[in-house]
Amino acid sequence: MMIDVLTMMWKELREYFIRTGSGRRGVVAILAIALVFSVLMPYQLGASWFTSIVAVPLYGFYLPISLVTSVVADAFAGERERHTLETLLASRLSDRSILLGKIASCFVYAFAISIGAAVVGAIVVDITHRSINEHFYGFGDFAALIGLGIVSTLLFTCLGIIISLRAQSVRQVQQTLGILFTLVFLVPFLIFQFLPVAARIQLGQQIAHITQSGQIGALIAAVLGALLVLDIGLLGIIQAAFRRSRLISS
Amino acid sequence: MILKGGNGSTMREIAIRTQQLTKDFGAIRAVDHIDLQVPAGTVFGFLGANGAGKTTTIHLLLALLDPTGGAAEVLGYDTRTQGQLIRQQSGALLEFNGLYERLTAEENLDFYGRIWHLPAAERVARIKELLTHLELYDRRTDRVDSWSRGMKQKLAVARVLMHRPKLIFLDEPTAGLDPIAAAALRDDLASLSQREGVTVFLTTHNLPEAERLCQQVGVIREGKLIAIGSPDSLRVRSGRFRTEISGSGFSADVMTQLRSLPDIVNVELQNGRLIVDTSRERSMAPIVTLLVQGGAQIEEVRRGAASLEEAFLALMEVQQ
Repeated sequence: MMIDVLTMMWKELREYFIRTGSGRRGVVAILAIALVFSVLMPYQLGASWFTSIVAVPLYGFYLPISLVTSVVADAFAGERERHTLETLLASRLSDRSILLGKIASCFVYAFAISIGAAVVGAIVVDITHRSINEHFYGFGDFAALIGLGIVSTLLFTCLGIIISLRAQSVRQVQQTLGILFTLVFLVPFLIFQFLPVAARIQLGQQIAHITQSGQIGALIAAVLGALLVLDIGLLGIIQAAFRRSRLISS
Repeated sequence: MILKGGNGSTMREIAIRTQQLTKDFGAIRAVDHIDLQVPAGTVFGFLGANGAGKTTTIHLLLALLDPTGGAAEVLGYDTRTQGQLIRQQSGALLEFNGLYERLTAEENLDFYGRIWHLPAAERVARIKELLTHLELYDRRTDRVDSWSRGMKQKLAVARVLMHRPKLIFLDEPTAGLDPIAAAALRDDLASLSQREGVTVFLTTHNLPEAERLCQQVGVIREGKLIAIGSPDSLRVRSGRFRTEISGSGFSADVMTQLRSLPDIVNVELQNGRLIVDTSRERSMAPIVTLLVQGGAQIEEVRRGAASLEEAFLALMEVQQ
């Protein structure tokens, strides 16, 4: 089965990098990401890049789920839209190989680029700010970045695959994921904005307390654990939802 | 039940066997109690109008859909429980060519070669062999989206043959091909079937094509299999016998008189020739006499069964 999963990934990753128009556009998109997230932002924050609270959510959450959103719609809805799904399903590949191949390629694409961007960001800071003491993210921060990257990439990959399995078009998946993406980012921000000033101050103090008392590690671990459980649940749902007959007749 | 489990033991004699195969989509019955037997190593043509149930039948035989009732055995395997084994030994060109248009021709074939676990060297050699044969090798590094419909269809056929399957399903394989390419593909399919014993199950609207290529044909209408047999037997079974009379002076009066004779189904002029369809094999002497008396000059009288196309249309009329 491993060979089949790798075969599926071979095809998917090839398509990701030549998504639209000429074959170079996929590479151009990666370079644009590298320029913004690995050069401009680290360069601007400079010495504080390794100690700020920006790097972990950026490389562990925002960037991977943005990347997932850009490719996951193609997984099944894209194949259906381009009339390639039926032929793929008529091949000897097992349900599990197709599914794992699609999930793995989406995950690897988003996670690898995000971690790569984090490492390049560190190198950029090292080169442009030679006088600083830190030369890389702290162990805890980097572990959190990787952990958060894994669970959030998997979470959005699974959500995208579930939507893609049922959707009739790539656009439909992208719109649904766009709404989801907006909710995840906008709703907490809006809630915070509409909180009374006293409540905002109290919340800020509590966050500061958690950070200073060394409980942040435990909090992150709890969040990661909860997301991991959610990921496993979603993987189960995907496996149950993937039926050749349902995909053919839909 | 006809199914005994997938050991491939019945494969030599019968490649496809269905018993009362039925598929419903809600209230619509797409395939209605089909009994079918396709001998291994033959080309079987599945004929029917759009929406008759041809594609659904292929989906059922490839175990892509679960039947509502009945059973099907393909290459000795039960479609309900051994779908993956069926797909492992089959190739399919379905309604759409299924090519990844953003990939090159070579990459498309390579992907399907990998799926069937062909070693790298064999993949390279097979791609070269197939693309050279189809005169596409020089364009192998082109992205498929830049190709014409006919070229894509040829590539899709190459993809089906990539892993040398025992059974191939082809849904309108010559659609979009120019006459020369279509003829070449027909020759390839015929020789593939004869030389390598590959069973071909094809659907087509092109009845002359089915007539030339298929040893067996089945006619499906509204999900029901209304006829099955060799093209010759279908022509005879259609109950129409055609006589072509060459000559001149076929007046409207004499044609009207002909139509009033017993057993005459149809009389018409086609390119100066008089076509007379009868419902049974009958003596043509009275017809010729009538024509001569009516002032016609007869040069040649040629008798034969109706073409498969006419037989098909006749079958459709009978069912209506």
